[in-house]
Amino acid sequence: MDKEELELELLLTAVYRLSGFDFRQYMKSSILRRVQNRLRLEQLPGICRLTEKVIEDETTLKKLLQDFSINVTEMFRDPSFFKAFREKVVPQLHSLPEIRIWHAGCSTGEEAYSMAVLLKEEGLGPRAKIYATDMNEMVLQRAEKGIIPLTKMQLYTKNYIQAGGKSSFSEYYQTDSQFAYFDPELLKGIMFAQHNLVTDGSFNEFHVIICRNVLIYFNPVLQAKVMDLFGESLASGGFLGLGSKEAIRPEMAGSFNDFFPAEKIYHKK
Amino acid sequence: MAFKKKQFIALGLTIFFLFVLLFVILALTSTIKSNMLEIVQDRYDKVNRAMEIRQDIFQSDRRILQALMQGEEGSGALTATDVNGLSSNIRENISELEGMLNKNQSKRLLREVKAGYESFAAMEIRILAGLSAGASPDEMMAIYNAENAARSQLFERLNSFRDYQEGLIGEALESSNEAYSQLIASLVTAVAAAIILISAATLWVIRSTNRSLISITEGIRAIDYDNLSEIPRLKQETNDEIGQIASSFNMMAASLENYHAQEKKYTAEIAEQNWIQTQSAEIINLYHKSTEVESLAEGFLAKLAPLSGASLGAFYLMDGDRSGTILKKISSYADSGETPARGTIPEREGLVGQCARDGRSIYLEEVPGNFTPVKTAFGEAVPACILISPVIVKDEVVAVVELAALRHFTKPEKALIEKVLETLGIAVTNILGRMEVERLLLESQAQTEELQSQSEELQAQSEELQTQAEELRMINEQLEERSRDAEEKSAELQKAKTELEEQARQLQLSSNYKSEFLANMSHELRTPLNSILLLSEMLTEDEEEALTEEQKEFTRVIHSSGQDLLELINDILDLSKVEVGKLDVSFDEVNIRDFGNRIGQLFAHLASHKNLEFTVSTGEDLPDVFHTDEQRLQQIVKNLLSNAFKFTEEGSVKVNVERPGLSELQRLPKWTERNDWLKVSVADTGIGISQSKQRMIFDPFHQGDGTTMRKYGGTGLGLSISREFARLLGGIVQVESEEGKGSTFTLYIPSLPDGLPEESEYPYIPVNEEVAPAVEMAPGPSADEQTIPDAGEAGPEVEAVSLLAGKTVVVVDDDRRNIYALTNALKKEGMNILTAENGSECLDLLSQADQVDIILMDIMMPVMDGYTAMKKIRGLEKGEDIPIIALTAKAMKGDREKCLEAGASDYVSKPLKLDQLLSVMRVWITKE
Repeated sequence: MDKEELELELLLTAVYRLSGFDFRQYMKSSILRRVQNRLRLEQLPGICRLTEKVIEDETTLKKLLQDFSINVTEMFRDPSFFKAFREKVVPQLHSLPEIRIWHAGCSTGEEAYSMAVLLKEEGLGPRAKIYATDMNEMVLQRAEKGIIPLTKMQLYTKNYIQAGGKSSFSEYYQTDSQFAYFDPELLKGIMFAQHNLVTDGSFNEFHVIICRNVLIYFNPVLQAKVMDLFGESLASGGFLGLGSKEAIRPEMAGSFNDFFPAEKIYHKK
Repeated sequence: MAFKKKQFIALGLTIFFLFVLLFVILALTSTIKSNMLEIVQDRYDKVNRAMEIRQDIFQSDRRILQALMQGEEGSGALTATDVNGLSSNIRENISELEGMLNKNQSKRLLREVKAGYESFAAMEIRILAGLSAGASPDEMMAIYNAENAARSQLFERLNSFRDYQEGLIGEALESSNEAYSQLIASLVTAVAAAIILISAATLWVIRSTNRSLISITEGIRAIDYDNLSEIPRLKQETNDEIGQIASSFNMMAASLENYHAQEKKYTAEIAEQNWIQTQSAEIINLYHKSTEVESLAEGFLAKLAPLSGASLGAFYLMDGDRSGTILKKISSYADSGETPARGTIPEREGLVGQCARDGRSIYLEEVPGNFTPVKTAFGEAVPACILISPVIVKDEVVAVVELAALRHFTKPEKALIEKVLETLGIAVTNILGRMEVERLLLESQAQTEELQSQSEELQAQSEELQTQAEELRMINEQLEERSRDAEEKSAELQKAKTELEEQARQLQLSSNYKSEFLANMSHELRTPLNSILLLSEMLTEDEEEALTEEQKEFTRVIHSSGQDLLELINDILDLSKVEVGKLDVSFDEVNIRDFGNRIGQLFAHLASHKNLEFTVSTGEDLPDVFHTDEQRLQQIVKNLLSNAFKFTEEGSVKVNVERPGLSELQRLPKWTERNDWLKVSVADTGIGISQSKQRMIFDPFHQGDGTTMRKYGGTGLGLSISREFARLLGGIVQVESEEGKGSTFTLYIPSLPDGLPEESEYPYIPVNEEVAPAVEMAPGPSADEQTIPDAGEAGPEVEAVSLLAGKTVVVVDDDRRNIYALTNALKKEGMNILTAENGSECLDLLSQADQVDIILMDIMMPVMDGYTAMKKIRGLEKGEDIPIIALTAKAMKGDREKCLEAGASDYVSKPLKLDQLLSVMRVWITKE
C-alpha cells in the first residue's frame, strides 16, 4: 500500500468517524481526484494536512462532503432512457393499483421531476408515489424546492422533447428572471428523504428503482452490496433502471432478467 | 413291410369281404325273388285262369238252362249272344294257359279240359240252334241232360288242373324257404370269416405301428430341454416311415446340439461385450463429470484398474512445449511412495516414451524382478505382465496409460482397456479444451469487468469533469462579472477620484457649515426665539394702542422674521431627524385632485406678487385614491415650488400632477409593477442649474453657489429635505435643468397602502450618492444573485427587474385580436414588440430589424404559414439562433413534431396562458 493510499484511507476514516458518511468503499480513483481538487482549493500540500484540517474545522469537513457528493443531473437525462421507460415499462405498470418508485441518489431531484412529468402524461400520476433519496441533505433541500436555474431550461426542454414528451414542457414550470419553478402540484407527489446507500437498508417495497450513475462511484464490493439492497427492495417483477455505463453485476445476474438492455432496464425475476 | 402297405392290406381286406358279402346276398335274394315271382305270377295266374274258365262255363251253362226254362223266342237270341261272349272268353283263357304251361303234367290236364269244353260248347250250340229254330224245351232239355255226365267230367278236370297248380305253388314256396335258409347260413359264415380276417389284419398293423411310435416317444421324452448340449439318439428299428422319423429326429438333435453349442458361444461373447460396454460406459461417464485432466486421470485409473484386474497403474499426459515433448505423470494407482513411477519421461525414452512415439500398445509378459512390486499389507509381488497403451486422438498421442497385473490380462479385459482408451483421447482433449476455454472465459470476464470498471470510471470522471466544469463555469462567470465590475469601477473610480477630490473639499466645507449650524441650532435657540415671537405678536396686537403705525409694521416684521427663523430651525431639525431615521411617516388615503388645487391656492398669492405665470395641471387618469403621507408630499412640493419661485424672476412656474408612463417608470430603480405611481413635476423658467452643480444641489446647505445664497437667501435645505422625504415615501426626485433657461424637478412616488416595505427593498440611498439627472437603468442580475433563493420563497416572486424588458419580440399571428392582446401583455413587460401577420411579413421584419431576441410564431396563417416561415428563418444567417416559440392550436402530437422539424425551439399550445408564455420566453431569452 503506498503512502497516498494510506493517507486517503486515514482521511476517509476520519470523515466516517466525524460525519457518519462512509466513502471508504467508493472508487479510489474518483475519491482521490475529489480530494486533490479540495487540496488545490484549500492550497494544502498533502492529504494528511487535509485530514488534520477536517478534524479541526467543521466547515472544511462540510466542504469535503460536498465535494464527494457529485451532483450532476438533468431533467430527462439520456432522453432515450426515459423514452424507453415511457414506451416499454409504463404499459407494464398500468395494472398496478399503486406504483412506488424509488430514485436512489436523486441529487437535486431533476430525474424525479422528470418521472413525475412522465407519469402524469401517462395517466399514472394519481397512483404513483415517487421516493427520491440522496445522502446529501443540502442537495435534497434544493430538490424539495423545485427551483431550476433558467440557464438549464433550454437543455431540459430539448431533452423533454426527445424523451417523447406529450405536451408542452412549459406546462410544468413558471419562471422569473433567474429561475424556473417546477409545478408545485407535481412536486407534492415526490417524497424527498435522506438515505445513504452505503449505510442504510431497505425502507419499502418498490415497483421501480431508478439509480443512474450512482454505482459508478462505488467499488465492486459496494456495488454488489447496493445491488443486493435493490434486489431486496424490489417487488417481484419490478424494474431496475441503471445508468448508461452501468450493468447488473454478474453475481446478481441470477436475480434479474434483461428487460431493455440497450437502456439498462432490468426486470426482477 | 411298409406301414402304408400294411394299412392297404388291412383296409383292402375289409373292402374285399364287403364286396363278397354283397354278391352273395344279391345272388341269394335274386333266387328268392325269382321263386316268389314264379309263385305269384305263374302259378297263381294259372290257378286264377282255371277258376275263371270254370266260372264262365258255369255261367254259360246257367244261361242256357234259363233259356230252356223260359222258352221264349226272343230270349233265345239274347242268350245266344251271352253264351258266345263267354265261350270266346273261355277259349282265350285256355289258349293263354297253353302258352304258359311248361310242365307236361299240366299240359295234359289242360288238353283234357279243352277237349271236355269242346264237347260242352257243341252241346250249347245245338241247344241254341234248337231254341232259335223253336225246338221244344223238352227236347232241348233232353239234349242238355244228355250232356250232364260230360259236364261233370269237365268240372272234375278243371278241379284237378287247379289242384295240380296249387301243388306246384306249395313246392315253389318250399324251395324258396330253403333258399332263404341257405342265404342266412352263408351270410353268417362269410361275415364271421371277414371279421376274423379284418381283426387280425388290423391288430397286426396297430401293434407293429404302436411299438415303433412308443420307442420314438420315449426317445423324445428323454430329452433334457435345459441342457440341449447332449440329446439322446433314437434306434432305427424299422426301415419304414417311423424309422425315417427316428433318423430325422436324430439329425435334428444333432443340429440342435450344434446350435446350442454355437448359441452358448455367442452368449458368452455377448456377455463379454456387455461387460465391456457397461464398464466402459461407466468409465466414459467419468469423462463428462471431470472438469480437470488430473481428476479425470485419477477417476479413470481408479475405475479401470480394478475392472481390468490391474494392480498398478499410471497415467502420463503429453506435455509439449518448445523444448520437446515430455510425458508427465498426472495420476497413478496403487503406486508406492518409495518407488514411485517416474514423474516425467521424455519422449522415446523407455517403453512408455516409445509407446507415446509409436502410438501402439506394448504388452510385456515376462517382467523382471526389480520392477515396481505390487504391495499389500501381507507382502509384495512383481507383476506378471505390463500393458502400456497410448491414448490417441486423430493419430496423435495425447497420453499414455500403463497398467500392471499379477496375472495376465484376459481378452475382455484387454478389450475393455482398448475400448476405454479409444474414447479417452477425445475426453482428454475435450477437458483440456474446456479448461482452456474456461481459462479464456475467466480472462475475458476479468477483461470485461476491467473494461466495465474503466468505463464506469470514465463516466465518473466525466461526471466529475462536468461538476468541475460547472464549478469552473461559475467561477469563470463570477470572474468575468468581477472583471467587468472592476473595469467599470476603475473607470468610475478614475472619474470619481477627481470628483471625490472636489467633493472632499466641498464636504469639508459643508461639514463645517453643518457642524457650525447645528452647533448654533441648539434646542435653546428656540426658547429665546419663542419669546421673541410671542412678544412681537403681542406688540403687533398693540392692545394699548401705544405704538405708531411704523412701529407696528416693525413688530410685524420682527414676528414674521422670527416665524421664518423657527421654520428654518424646524427644517434643520427635520433633516437631522430624517438622517437619524427618527422622522415618522404615516401613510393614508390622499385625494390627489384636491391636492393639486391646494397647492395652487397656496402659491397663487406668491405668483401674482412676483408677477409670474403659475399653472397647476392635473392629469385625467389619476387614481381616485392614492396612499401616501400627504403632509410630507405637500412639504416636498412646497419646497420645490418655493425654490422655483425663488429662482425665477420672470416667466412661468408650472406644476403637473399626472400618472407616469410605463417607459418612464421602467427607468426608475425602485419601480415595481405592483403599485400605482404619481408623478409631480415642477418646471420653472428661472436661472437653471449648471451640469456640474446639479449633483450638489440635493446636498444640505448647498445652493447653486455662494453667490446664489447671497442673492436669493434661503438655507439650501429645501432640496435635501425634499429628497429625503421622497425617499421616505418610496419615491425619488429628479432634476433636469439648463443654466439660464430653467429647471424641472420631478417627483415620483408610489401608492403604498401597506406603508413602506423593508429597507432591503428600498435601500437607503446615501445623501451623497448621485441620483439625478442620470437615467438609471435597471441593474442586471449580478453573479452573487445566481444562488438559489431561501426556503419558503418557492414560487416566482414579483420581480424588481423584468428579464424581458428591453428585449425585442416578433409576434407573428394573422389574428389582429391576438396581436393586440399579446402586444398589450408584452408591453407591460417592457418589451419592444414587432408584429407580423404572416410568415413572409415576419421574414421582411427580420431582414430590417437590427436585433430580434425571440419570435412567437402562429402556425396557421395565410400567404406563408408558420412551418415554412420557421424553415426559412432557420435558413437565414441571423435566424439560426433566434429562439422561436411555436403557438400551436390545441396541442396535436403531429403538429408539435412538425413544428420541431421546421425548427421551432419550443411550443406552447393555444389558448395561451400569459404566465406560461412569459415563462417560456424567459427560458429561451436566457443566454446559456
